[in-house]
Amino acid sequence: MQVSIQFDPQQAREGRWYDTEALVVDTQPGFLVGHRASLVLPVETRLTEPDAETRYRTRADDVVISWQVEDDSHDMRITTLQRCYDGGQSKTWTDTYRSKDTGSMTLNLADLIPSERSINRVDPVDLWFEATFATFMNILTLGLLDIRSETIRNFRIDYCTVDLHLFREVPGTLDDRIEDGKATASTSDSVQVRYEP
Amino acid sequence: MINPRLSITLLTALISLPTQAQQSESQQLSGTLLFGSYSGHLSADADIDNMTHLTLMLNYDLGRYWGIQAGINRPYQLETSEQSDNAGEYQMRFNTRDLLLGLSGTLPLNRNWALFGSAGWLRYDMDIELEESFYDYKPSGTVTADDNGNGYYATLGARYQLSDSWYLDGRAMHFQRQDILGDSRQPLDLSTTGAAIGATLYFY
Repeated sequence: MQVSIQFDPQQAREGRWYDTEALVVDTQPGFLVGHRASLVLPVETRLTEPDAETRYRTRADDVVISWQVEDDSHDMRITTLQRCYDGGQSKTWTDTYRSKDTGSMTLNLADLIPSERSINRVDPVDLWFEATFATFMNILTLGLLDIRSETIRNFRIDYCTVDLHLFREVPGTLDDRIEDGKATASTSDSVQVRYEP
Repeated sequence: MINPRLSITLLTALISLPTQAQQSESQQLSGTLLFGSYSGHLSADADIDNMTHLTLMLNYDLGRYWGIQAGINRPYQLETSEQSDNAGEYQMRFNTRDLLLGLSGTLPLNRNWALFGSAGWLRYDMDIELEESFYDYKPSGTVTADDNGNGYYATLGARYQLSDSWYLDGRAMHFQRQDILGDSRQPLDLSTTGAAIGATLYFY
């Protein structure tokens, strides 16, 4: 597969909701225009384990991921998307793991889900601003107003979904004029499992 | 495009009407300044961020219940949310000045309170600005187009009399601008709806 980057402002914007001929920002072609890459797509990637909607009850469980081996020189990447629910609220985050094309990989559920029943993944900077503002309002109102965010501290896990995305990646080649960067061809498969404590 | 002098001339013409109003005590001229928070809707796959409007209206009472009005409406920060695709990140801003001409109705409820509504023709004069950036692989830029066209507006609210001349106003307001970039392949309709508060001063 040959990929070449061309300058076509209209086609690049064809999905937009306004008339891109009436309104188009007049810019010069970017530095990537004219470059080429050669890629060979790897064979289909197919997960054989776990089954969709597999339920895990404790964080001590292992998530065994298996797939059909093609070439042990291929690089495999597993990207996980965890989404945990507490009533109507949810929290989402991702992790990435890498492996060779060995056919299986085991993830500890404890690495995917940070706590058995509650989550407190708060940005320290956000937490500092929140605490400072809460203290300020508390002093300003002589203690009448306490606005600490209970929703963050008391997030209780009802259940979580974990999307497992497996990629088989094969490096491509860039033309000689490119000094840095890489081209990667990949195929992928996905499955969703659940954590229900 | 609206000539700014046209707006001024129309308002000046209404200001000169008290000469006629003096012929009847039921005819009165008032000015209203309103400031409010609005949400917007665009007839396209784009969200409009919340914004504010400043509205100046002159109302000339033809009788106890009816009047005519003219005004200028000026939205601030009327823009779409930032969107992105493979080409870049983009955001559109609509800098519009709306001229309003319409009929008004007043329904007194008691000594202090009255319901107030109005509706009429809207003429917009608009600069449309598209700002786009390209993930740092080439310089960002801005392009501007201008357009003018027609639409309509409607308001409904209540009025509280503070003194002989001063009233406190609260209104729900809707402004509809139609066929923006009408010569293009994808014309747009842009509406803003919100609530405004302000004050009305009767000159007579």
